[in-house]
Amino acid sequence: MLKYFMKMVLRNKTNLLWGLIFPIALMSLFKLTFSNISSSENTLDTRKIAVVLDGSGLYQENFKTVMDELSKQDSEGGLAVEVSYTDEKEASSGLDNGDYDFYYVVGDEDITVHLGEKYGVATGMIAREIADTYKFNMDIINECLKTDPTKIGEITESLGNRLDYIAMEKEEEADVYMWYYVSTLVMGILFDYALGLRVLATVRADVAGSAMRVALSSSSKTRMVVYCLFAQLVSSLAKTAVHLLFMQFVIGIDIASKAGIIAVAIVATTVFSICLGILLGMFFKGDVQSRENKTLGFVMLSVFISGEMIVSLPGYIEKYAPVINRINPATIFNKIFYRILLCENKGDLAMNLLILTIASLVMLTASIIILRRETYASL
Amino acid sequence: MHLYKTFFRLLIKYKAVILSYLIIFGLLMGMLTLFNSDQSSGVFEEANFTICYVDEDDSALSRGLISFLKESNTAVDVKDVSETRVEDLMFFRVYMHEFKFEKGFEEKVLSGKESGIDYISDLPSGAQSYVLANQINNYVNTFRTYNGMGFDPETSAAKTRDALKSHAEVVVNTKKVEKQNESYMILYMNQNIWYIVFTIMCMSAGVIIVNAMEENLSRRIEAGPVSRRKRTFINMAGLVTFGFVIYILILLANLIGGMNSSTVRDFFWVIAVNDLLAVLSSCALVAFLTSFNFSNKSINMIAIMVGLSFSFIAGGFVPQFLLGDKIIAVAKFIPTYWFIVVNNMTHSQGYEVFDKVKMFQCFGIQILFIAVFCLGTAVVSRVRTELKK
Amino acid sequence: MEVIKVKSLVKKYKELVALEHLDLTVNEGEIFGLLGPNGSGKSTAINCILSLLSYDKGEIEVFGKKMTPKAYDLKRMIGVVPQEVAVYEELTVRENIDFFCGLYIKDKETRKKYVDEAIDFVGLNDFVKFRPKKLSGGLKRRLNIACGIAHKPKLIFFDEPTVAVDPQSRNKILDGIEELRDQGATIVYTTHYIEEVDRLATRLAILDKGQVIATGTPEELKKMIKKNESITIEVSGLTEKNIAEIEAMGSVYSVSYENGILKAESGEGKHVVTDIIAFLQKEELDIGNIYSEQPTLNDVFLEITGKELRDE
Repeated sequence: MLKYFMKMVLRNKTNLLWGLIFPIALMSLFKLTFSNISSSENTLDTRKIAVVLDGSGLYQENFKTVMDELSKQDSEGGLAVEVSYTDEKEASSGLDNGDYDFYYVVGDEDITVHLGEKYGVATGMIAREIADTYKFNMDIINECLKTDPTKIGEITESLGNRLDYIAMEKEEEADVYMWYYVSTLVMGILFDYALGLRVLATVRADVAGSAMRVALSSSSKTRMVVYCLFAQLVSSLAKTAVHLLFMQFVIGIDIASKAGIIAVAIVATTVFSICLGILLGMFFKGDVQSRENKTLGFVMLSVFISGEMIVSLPGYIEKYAPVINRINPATIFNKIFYRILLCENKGDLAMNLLILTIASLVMLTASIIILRRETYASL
Repeated sequence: MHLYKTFFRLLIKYKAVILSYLIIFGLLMGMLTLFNSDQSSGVFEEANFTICYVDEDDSALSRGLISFLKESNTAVDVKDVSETRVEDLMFFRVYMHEFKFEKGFEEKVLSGKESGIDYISDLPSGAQSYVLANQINNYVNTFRTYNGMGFDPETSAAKTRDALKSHAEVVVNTKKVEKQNESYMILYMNQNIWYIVFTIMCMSAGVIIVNAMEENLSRRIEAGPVSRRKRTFINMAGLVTFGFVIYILILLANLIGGMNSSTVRDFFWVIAVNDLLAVLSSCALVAFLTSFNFSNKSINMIAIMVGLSFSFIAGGFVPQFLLGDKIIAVAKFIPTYWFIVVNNMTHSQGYEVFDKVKMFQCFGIQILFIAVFCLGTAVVSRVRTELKK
Repeated sequence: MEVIKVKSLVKKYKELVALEHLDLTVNEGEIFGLLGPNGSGKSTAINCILSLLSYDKGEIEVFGKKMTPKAYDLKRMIGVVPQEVAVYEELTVRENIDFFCGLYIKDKETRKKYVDEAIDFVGLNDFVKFRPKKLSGGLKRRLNIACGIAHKPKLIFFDEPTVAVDPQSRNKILDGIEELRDQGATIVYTTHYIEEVDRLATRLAILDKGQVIATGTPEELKKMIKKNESITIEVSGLTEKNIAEIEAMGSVYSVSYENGILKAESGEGKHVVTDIIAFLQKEELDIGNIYSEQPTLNDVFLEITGKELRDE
């Protein structure tokens, strides 16, 4: 019996396409399109800077010293820069060509930051921060010279011994776009609702004709339900394993080091999804295809609300209608996997997993009770 | 006429699919416009980060620092919020960064002892973190300097605030004339038109065409007095008519949504022609795909995959200038890319300077794609007919 | 022995009464036909007997025991061939039959033997590796049957098994059903095709609006109605006087004459066709073709329910 249920699952092309291939294709698309952005915008990759010294005074000289020091700093210590000294015409043309990320024009008492037309927000802020740091220090020194020149030595020494009050360790970089991959993994798991509908159609006589034979047979209903559920669960876990392998070896997200806890989360979320498919399938009316379409609509809405396309959508929902985030399955799944993969402090991960496991067991029990039903008011 | 009308009677059955996509599209456009309308357009705009903090020190230093951070960021006190809740809020990106000032922070800073600010972020070593860290370090170091000059903490905080008030001037080198009243909604809407039009058409009209080719149904139809050529013509006519209806709606949306904007005022005809070509290339691609006799489940999957892939690769969801060179090289082989190049010319945020010659080239390439898809459709249909015989 | 005994069965769907105090018995070894228009309650009655549908009142016994959803020993002896083809698209012909047989027969060897016999029985030997999608309508029906009878049940329900089936397959199906009966199975057979019931049924019941309105052997049912003989004669030049005289003959109760065709129906009693022919010859009228038919079950149905079986 189990053998045939497995065959039915494996030979179902629709499940294969939607459940296995679509998430992989989507992750590939994300990888293709986002790989270039994340390397340029959100990390501290080396910035190429041009400096135009408009004069040969102290202001310009000190700035040159600062920039030379900064360019010696490697990326392990924070921001790394490549500095070139040139004239404004060349700096401007270099900016347009992409040779420089930005350039400075340093006058006698001020400094101007020049950004390119397509500057990114982060690049603009970094450019200004470097200039501001220099400007603030010079302003303090100038003020001191005007008000209390005797303290100039102390001031200069203090400003020279600039301390870092935030320990910035360049750890393994969290991919800003990890969210999309996690969301897609979750979407793949939620697509297992179709397997739940399959269980329903195999066992419930009021859903599909072939289920009537099963209902009329002398085989124990519970046994049939368990076999069918088991077959769907095994195939789903195998499919998710493929997704995880893809994430590990192609996308480059570290799954292996957290394999144990991820496995627990996968089992709990998969059982939840299959049972959700059973319960939603019972709730909607019509033939199997119609129930599948309606349930798909629900699942896609859940995935959309969880931020699959718009990362900041859950944030808005959290501000104005947080209860939606509490009950949206995709958001809950996202939170669990995100916490496992990214958070050092697991916080209430254990609690979330426990709640999910309990919810899964409740749904599983409810599903079995519904599926075991022997007689119907109508067919 | 009967067959033509029947096409639309069948199309109405797919209104749920069409409406769902339009609603999702509308939401997407709304959110994109909301989130991105403040991006640079020739003027430097300061980034505003959302941060939360816990101040256990409550000293002049910590208060002053928080006040300073609030000037250019959105900072919220989460002292009374549980750690788990803060983690949740960080997960939902309500806050991106969390800072904790432990008790005795000011004392340690002023006495030169080692002292750190606990910092949690999704981007521990990203550009945002660098900027925030720099702001904090600037403040604390300046505070320490003033205190070293003999000022008490309260005065040091005030003087630090004054010292850090004036920022370096930032200039954006832009060649093009600053446009007034540009409409981001029009930009994003048109950017994704190709995806929406193609997906809707494929999942509704495409399915109707594919269903008519289903074995039993096609036998019944072929037994009738209407020739295959006529039937194909009517299907294509239905498809193109549907496309035109969508096109009219798109034009209306552009006019209504961008009535007061320079984007529509200056580039209406460019947008009109470009969107028309997008609709026609979608029609042609749908015709081409349906000529392969996929099942209706497969055609739905293909619609989603092709629509998403084309839009991702061609710069529909991610701006073209942020895509890698290799992606762009591949994207040039799909019509969506050329459509988006022209669309980018209509708005400064598209970073494509308006060039008439280039525009016509893009139009020409799109027409070429339409011709290729139509030819492909004819060839595939012919081959399939021959094989059937 | 009574294989099925149904007493005062009542089933309601909200306000609609689907079965109203239905009484039915089916004896061992017979083919029991259930006739009735759409909506008469045939499928509802069968589903209630099989304990698939809940019912409001009544008693149902199968093989002398009360039928319940958990009566697995009874279910083991029952097979069902539903109206819709109920097989799995993903499994091949052999796999489908093996799967459904496996619901009843646990022993592998026995099951393999039964599956092979079922495939032989329905004539699907050349199609064992095909998936249902690749089969014609008739072959799918045969597969449908094989899945229902593979485990050699003693009681089999056939719910319109020959719908949309080619004549060759249909003949094979009917032959097969007779063979099953000869092997000792009791069969309950529902259909719209009168000729099938006429051929197969040992006894039958006519249902209408949830009630059994007539039950008995086909011969018994035919004797229940007024019509004994239906006569059609091609004759020209018949007058009103002639028609009146024919109407006055013995057991003739209905006469019509249109477009040169005389139709007369007579009730119980001797055959009147010879009397009518003699009369026409006496009148020196030209007589063409002559047809005389015994009443059919359709006539039975028409007279009892007031409508054709396939009018609904």
